[in-house]
Amino acid sequence: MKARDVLLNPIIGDNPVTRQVLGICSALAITNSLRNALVMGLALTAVLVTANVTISLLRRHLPASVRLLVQMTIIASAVIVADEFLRAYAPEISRTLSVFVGLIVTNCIVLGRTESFALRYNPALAALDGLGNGLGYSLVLVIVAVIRELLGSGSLLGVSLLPLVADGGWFQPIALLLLPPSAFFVIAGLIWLVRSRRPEQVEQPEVREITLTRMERR
Amino acid sequence: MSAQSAGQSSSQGSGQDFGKTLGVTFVIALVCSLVVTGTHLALKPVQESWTDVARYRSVLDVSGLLPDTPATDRELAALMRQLEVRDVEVSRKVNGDVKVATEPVFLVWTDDRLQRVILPVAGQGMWAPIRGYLALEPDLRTVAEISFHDIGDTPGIGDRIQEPEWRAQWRGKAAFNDAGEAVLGSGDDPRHRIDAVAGATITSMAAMRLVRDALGADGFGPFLDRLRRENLRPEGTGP
Repeated sequence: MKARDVLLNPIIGDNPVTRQVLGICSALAITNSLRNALVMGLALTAVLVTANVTISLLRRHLPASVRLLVQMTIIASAVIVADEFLRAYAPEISRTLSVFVGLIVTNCIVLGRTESFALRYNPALAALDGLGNGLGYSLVLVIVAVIRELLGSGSLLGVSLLPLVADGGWFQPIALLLLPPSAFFVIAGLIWLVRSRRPEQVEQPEVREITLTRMERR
Repeated sequence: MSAQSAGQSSSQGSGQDFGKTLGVTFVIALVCSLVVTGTHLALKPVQESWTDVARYRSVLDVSGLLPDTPATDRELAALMRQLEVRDVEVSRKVNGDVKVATEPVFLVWTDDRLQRVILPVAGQGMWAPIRGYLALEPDLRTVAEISFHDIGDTPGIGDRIQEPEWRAQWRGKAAFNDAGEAVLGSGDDPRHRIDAVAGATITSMAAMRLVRDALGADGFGPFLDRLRRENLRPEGTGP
């Protein structure tokens, strides 16, 4: 286990969103503006690093029978603390992100990393793993948000870049990109892009095609 | 790989007994709850200051004084000082008990002419409280504007009652019928009728109900009657 791999692998090669297809719910909901995506990425990264380090420190003392419950308690506490900080210091963003910060508790990336990594490795590696996965998630969020905000409202971080027809410019925004389903298309496009570049990521089909004879078809 | 095997042997927990499981779980739960409570208490004052700003913004939102450009907090504070505040006693039903409370009502004056009267409205939404402000025209019957600054109902659904398109419907509606009863939002009469937000019907109906309650005899009804009998002059100077 090289520290560098632990940090960098999850960013593209083993990205939690495009490779493992985790954390899709929040990626769909909050990527219609870049600012939301940045804050959400930051919040998830902070929670992931905190949870990973805490659980790694406790890994020799965690009772196996209630392991998941204890991990969820720690994750939920980290999320509530992150949410409280957002409410205090970024109230506007906290209002637009609404429930999605709280829902980090159920984001499968977090429990996925604590369960598969933090329980087995030392706190330093666990911190790097949390940071790497947080950055990988944030990267996907930022890419999706840039595409959606730029083409959906002609702006980035609220700054108008493409003058809209409605304001006398030339750009007709694609309203579909502001709606949650469009995030599906963009994320699917990203996954296709990564997998066409790295064919080793393509999963083997679970069901094989068979040819039926004329008799069997009836 | 040595770290991996060590981690696994501990999580298999051959020698762990029931007592240790309980003990560790209890200590972790205790520490977590202390951290959460501590953070909440430490950050509460900062969070509440934002709630005040949101409330002021809501008052000014319906006052007609707010400029089109986004106002800074300093400008908001200056505008707030232009309003006359009157403390009015109202009875509120809290869990079935009728409680008398003092609530601030804001009066907007320009050159000694009453422009708007701003009443706080509050009550139960679908499953959480809704708070907002209702502005009446100087005739004290016609709705000028409404704004909700605190909506506890489902984010993305219930909070759509704060969308400008829905609030625009309220403008110009008659708050009272000919008999003087608060009927805003009820019935089919186009003078009072307000359509609910599709998908947020219960929250919308709750918003209309709490506005009717605020305008009724237990709410600001008596205050509005008194105000009608007054000459509609500012009381002293602004706050």
